[in-house]
This record gives sequence, structure tokens and C-alpha cells, in this order.
Amino acid sequence: MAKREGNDASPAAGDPSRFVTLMFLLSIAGSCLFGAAYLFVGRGARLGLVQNELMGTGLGVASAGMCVGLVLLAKSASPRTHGEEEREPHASPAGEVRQTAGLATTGAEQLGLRARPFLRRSLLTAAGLLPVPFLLGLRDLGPRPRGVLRENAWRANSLLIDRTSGQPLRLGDLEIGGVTTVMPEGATDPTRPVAAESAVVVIRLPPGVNQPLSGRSDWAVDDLVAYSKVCTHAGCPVDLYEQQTHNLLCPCHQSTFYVPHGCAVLFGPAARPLPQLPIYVDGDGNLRARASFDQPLGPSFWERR
Amino acid sequence: MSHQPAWRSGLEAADSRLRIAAAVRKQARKVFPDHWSFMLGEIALYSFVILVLTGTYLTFFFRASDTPVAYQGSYLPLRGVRVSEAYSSVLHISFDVRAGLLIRQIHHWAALLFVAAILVHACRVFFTGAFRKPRDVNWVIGVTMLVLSVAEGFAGYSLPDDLLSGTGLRIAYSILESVPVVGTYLAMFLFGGQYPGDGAIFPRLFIIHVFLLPAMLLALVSAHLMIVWRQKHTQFGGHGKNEDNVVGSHLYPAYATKSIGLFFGVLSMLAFLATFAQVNPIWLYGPYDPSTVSAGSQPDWYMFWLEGSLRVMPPLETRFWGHTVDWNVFVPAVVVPVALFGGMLVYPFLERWVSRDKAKHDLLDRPRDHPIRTGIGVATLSYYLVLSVAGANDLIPLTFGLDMMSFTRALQVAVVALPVVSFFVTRSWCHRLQLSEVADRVMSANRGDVISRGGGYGVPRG
Repeated sequence: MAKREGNDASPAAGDPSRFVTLMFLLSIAGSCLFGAAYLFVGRGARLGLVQNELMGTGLGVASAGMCVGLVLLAKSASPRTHGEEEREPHASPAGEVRQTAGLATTGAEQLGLRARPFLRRSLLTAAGLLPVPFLLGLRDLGPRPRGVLRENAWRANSLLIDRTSGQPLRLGDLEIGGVTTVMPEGATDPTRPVAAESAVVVIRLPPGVNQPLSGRSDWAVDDLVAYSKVCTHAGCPVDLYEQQTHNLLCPCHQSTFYVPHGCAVLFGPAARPLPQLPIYVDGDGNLRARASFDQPLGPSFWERR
Repeated sequence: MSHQPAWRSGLEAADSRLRIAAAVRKQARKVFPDHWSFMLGEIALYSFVILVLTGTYLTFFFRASDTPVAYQGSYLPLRGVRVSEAYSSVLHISFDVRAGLLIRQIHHWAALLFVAAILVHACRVFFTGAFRKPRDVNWVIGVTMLVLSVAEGFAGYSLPDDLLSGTGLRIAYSILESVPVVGTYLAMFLFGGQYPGDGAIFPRLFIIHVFLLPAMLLALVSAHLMIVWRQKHTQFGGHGKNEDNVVGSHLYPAYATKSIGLFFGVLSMLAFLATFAQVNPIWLYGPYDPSTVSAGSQPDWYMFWLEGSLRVMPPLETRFWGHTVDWNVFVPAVVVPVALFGGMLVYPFLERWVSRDKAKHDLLDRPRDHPIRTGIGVATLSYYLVLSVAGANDLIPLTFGLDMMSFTRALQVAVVALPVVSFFVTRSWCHRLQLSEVADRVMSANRGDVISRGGGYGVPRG
């Protein structure tokens, strides 16, 4: 492994070793393995995985052989592959820059741009304005935010549709400590806009645990409370309910909300409690929204008051 | 060899049209320094090549659409489930296209390696002062590529529309929205409406991921390489190496052979990883549903710091004049990255201004010889590291049985304290290394030994 810079003309000691040749042969074998696996091993969930492993091994071996072979080949080469090169100066010799800049000035003069300032300015303005129409075209990438911001699909008397069963949620559906996700009737597909913002988590607290905030005494039904499921921090679904502590936790950034006290922020980066959905139970035993939310859902934004 | 080699007639054909023989001969003898750390940029380059090749293959099968379909492929647990066309097509690639899973996983691993290689390469350039004039221009291009590569990676793993990537997109929407004054416009204009929009985001992300960002990266990679070629590499001093020469291997045959070998080494590593280390198994995550999320959601490693930045931020939000600013998102996810990357961009010019060193530099520094620069670098890395750890402030306490809240509070202290501490520790360590060298030199001078310390990490002798 001669690494010294050398001027001696002696050839490398010996031929490229057999080992290098072996590496290239190994590479050929790897490519063959890839091809054989591609052609002869079946597909489908299980066989497909086997096939992938064989092809991956083939590709890995084929390229590993090339890698080791080529690097050893380069290292066993004659020391004459090593050398020294002079660095040229990074900058041009004196005067070059002045001459080139002078050329630009002369050109501007020849075009008459220096003598006629109005001509010059109109050219620059025209060039500056040309991109504007194209930028204006970007306006229709999306709607103006005002108006569509934080719409949600909850209306007064909306049924609470259970996300899993697709049925209206009824008073007795949840055990104590139980939790479920509901969507407003008419907007039950959470992959659609507006509906996505309207997911609500319903929790049945143990009796006597809930301490309604002032003015919200009739927002819960017995021990059932309903809160927006969209975290007020970055909008993730607040999905983890801890039965023992009555905390609701956002799995994205660990914002922790204390359910019995209006989902106040107990810990984490969220700055606001989760908005509460006032609910009541109708004559048939179905849960319904008393009214929509009293505030925009999800994270804050500039236009939020 | 007595007969005329095949490449000679090829060269003749080219030369008779382009007059290139002398130029090719000259460039083939170009000298490249041999230090191992110069490999890092090449690893990034080769990851990029592999990304373009595997990514092109994936575009043949991927469908950037959120139209709901019932999955009909051969992955039984999800058969009949209503998923988006995007998700279904990625399942198709993974289970029903031969070599599809392999190529997909090579693509994902290559993306992880690409960003990592750029980052480590940037560290090498920073700590050895290779960013100084005249290479400050290439540093700016490099930092821009780092930013673009992170964005490119994010756009890429958002495409399959699985539960994990969908959650990431939801957070991205909130981050855009947190920008004061124009935030809601930014979010609306990217997503085409209130989250998740009317299906506009997938075609847009797709063209951003397969055309816009790669085209920018390709242009910048080309510029980066052309500038390196023109300016020639830096090198460490000592062993006959100085400001006026470059010592190393000629491009042809040694350097090119080694470098192509490195390409295959990268490919081989990625192929084995893709074969035996599963990455982004979207069929286990399930299709995206904005009303659900899996616990322990973790992005790709290069987003950990951003995720951690969001996680350690205190809950700060202000309202004034009928407007709300959610600093708890805006600061960690917009201000911090802009400050970090902005700081990297201006650092060479800042150092030039503060040190009043306007000269050009072709010899590299050893980190110890520039204690303040090295200190700043280590402090920044420690900041980055704490944020990255904070990105797992749920999984780490869970794994080691710690309390999540105390762990997070400790991280909040560390994110402020550790950079300061590591700056001073690094600086004094550098000073001590310098002193011990002086002591060495005095000792050996007294003994009459001859030692050569040109202030460089030379090629090891022997």
C-alpha cells in the first residue's frame, strides 16, 4: 500500500492479486443471484419477501465485490498514480477585472443606455414587471383563509356518530373510564376537510370527578364530557387517555390536558385548553350537540381573536 | 498491447469534433488529496445518484392521489380496506412489484444516508476551516443543499399517505399556519384549502419531491462540484504540502477507481440495509386517518431536532389587537431553523469580519488551532443533539422507566445550558491540546529529537 508520493518508475509489486479477481467474480455471482431470484422466485406477500431478500443479497454482494475489488485495485497500483499539482491563483492577474468591467460599460454606452436614463429605467421596469403576471397566477393555489378558517361541522342538535361503529352514540355506550371518538352527523369521513377538524373525543369520567367550569354546568351529560380531538398545539389528534390520572395526552408532542377541569393544559407545549362541545341526551337516548363550539378548533393562527 | 485500443478510436471521433484530447489528458492528471474525511461529500453525492435512480423507478408505479379506493393487492390484512390511491400504490410497490420493496427501501435508506452524509461533511468543512475564502461560496451552496435535502426527505416520506406521514403533514400545516400575518395564506396555498384540503396536496408534494427540489439539488450539486474542480481541494499542511500545491492521487487511474469503488460500497451498504433492516413499513402504520394517531410517532432522524424543538418549547401564546401568535409553534419550528441555517450561511462572512482575516486559504486548520470556531461548532452540535433527543421525549423515558415530565424539564434546561457549557469546555480543551504540543516540542528539542509537525494531519507514513 504505497501511499508516498513517488517519482520512481518501478511497477507495482506483483500482479493485481488473485483476491481482486475473486472479488469481481463474487460480484458477477451476486448479479446472477439477483437475476435468478427475479425470474424464478414467485411473488405474493410471503414469497415476495423471500424474493426481495434474495435480490437484495444479490445486489449487495454484486456491489460489495465491485467496491472491494476496485479499492484494492487502486491501492495496489504503482506509486506513480500519486503526484503533486501546482495551485494556480484563485483571482485573475491585475487589470483583468477592470478591463472586463470596462467592457460592460462600453457595451451599455454603445446601446445608448448610459446617455438616455429614461430608456434605461423603462427597460429595467419592464424587466422587473414581467414576472408579476406569473406570480399573480399563484393566487389561486388556495382560497383566502378568512371565512374558511376553522370551520367545523358541528351544529346545534348534531348527533354524535361513533367513529368505529358508525352509529349514533347513546348514553349507556361507554363504561366508566371509557373513551371514544365521534364525528358530527353528516360529516363522518375525517379524511375530508372540515370533517377532519371536527373530530371529538368523548370520555366517561368516574362519578363526581368532573368539575365543570363556570357557565358550563350543563355541557356534560352525567359524567360524559366531549372535547375537540384536535390538539391546540400542532393539530395532532389527542389520542391517549389515562384512566388513572384522567389526563388526555397528545402523542405527537406530549401536551397533557386535565379532563375533569375543562381539559386545562397540565404539561407540554400546548397553550390553550381543548375546546369543549356542549352535549345533551335526546328523548331516544342519543347524544347530541347542544350547540357548536364557541371558538375555532385546533392550533392558533394570526386571525384568531 | 500492440493493437490499437478501442477507446482511442472513440477519442479520435470525439476529438475531431470537439478538440478535447489535451484537455482530457490534463484533467485526468488532476490531483485529489487522500485524506479519509474527503470521502464524506462523495458519500452524499453517491446517495444522491442512488436516490435519483431508485426514485425514478418508484415514480413508474406511484400514484399521487388521495382518491379513496378499496385495496385489492396481496397484503391480506389490508385487503378490502378503504385507503387512498397513494397508499394503495405504495402497498402495490411493496408487495406486488418485483424488487419494488427492495428499491423502495434502498430509496428510503439512501435518503437517510444522504442527509447524514451532508451533515457530517458540513461538520468536516466547518471544523477544518475549509469554508474560508475562496470556498465560502461553496459553503453557501452546501448549506442550501442541506436545507433542500431535509425538505426533500420530508416531502418524500409524506407521499405514501400512511398514518405516520399524515400526522407529519398535519404538523407541517400547523407550522405554516403559525407564521404571523401570512401564515394562514401559506397553509391555504400549499394545501389548497383547510386541512387536509381537497386532494391538492399529493400532486403538489409529488411534483415538489420528484421535480422541483431534485432539479434544484441537481443544479446545486453541479455548481458545487464545478467550483471544487476549479478551486481544487484544500489539504492539511505538512509533508511537503503547502498553500501553493495539491498533493494526492491523480484522478486517473487511482482516484477515479477508488471513488467508483466507494460508489459501489455505498450501494452495497444500502442494498444490505434495505434487505435486512426494515424501514418505513407503511402497511404496519395503516392508512392515514386524521382522527387517529399511533403512540410513539417518530419522524425520520433528520426531523428529530425539529420535532424535539416543538416538544421542549414552553406553552407561550400571545394575543394583541385581535391577533394571536402561537410562539409555541412559530419559535421552535420556524425561528429556530431559520436562525440555525441562517447562522450557518453567514458564518464564514461573520468570521472574516470578526477576525479581519481577508486572505484566501487553501490549507486546512486543525480544530484545536481555532478554539472559538471549534467551540461554536461543538456548541451548535450539542444544541442540535439535545433537540434531537427531545424528539424522543416519550420513547426514551418509556424505555428507561423515567418520568416523561421531569425528563422534558431536564431537556429544557439542557437545551440552554449544554451549548454554553460545551463551548467553554471545548475552547479550553483546544487550548490544552495546543499547550501540550508546545510542551512536547520543547521536550524533544531538549533531547535533540527531530520531529515534524507542520500543523497538519498528513497521510500516515509507512
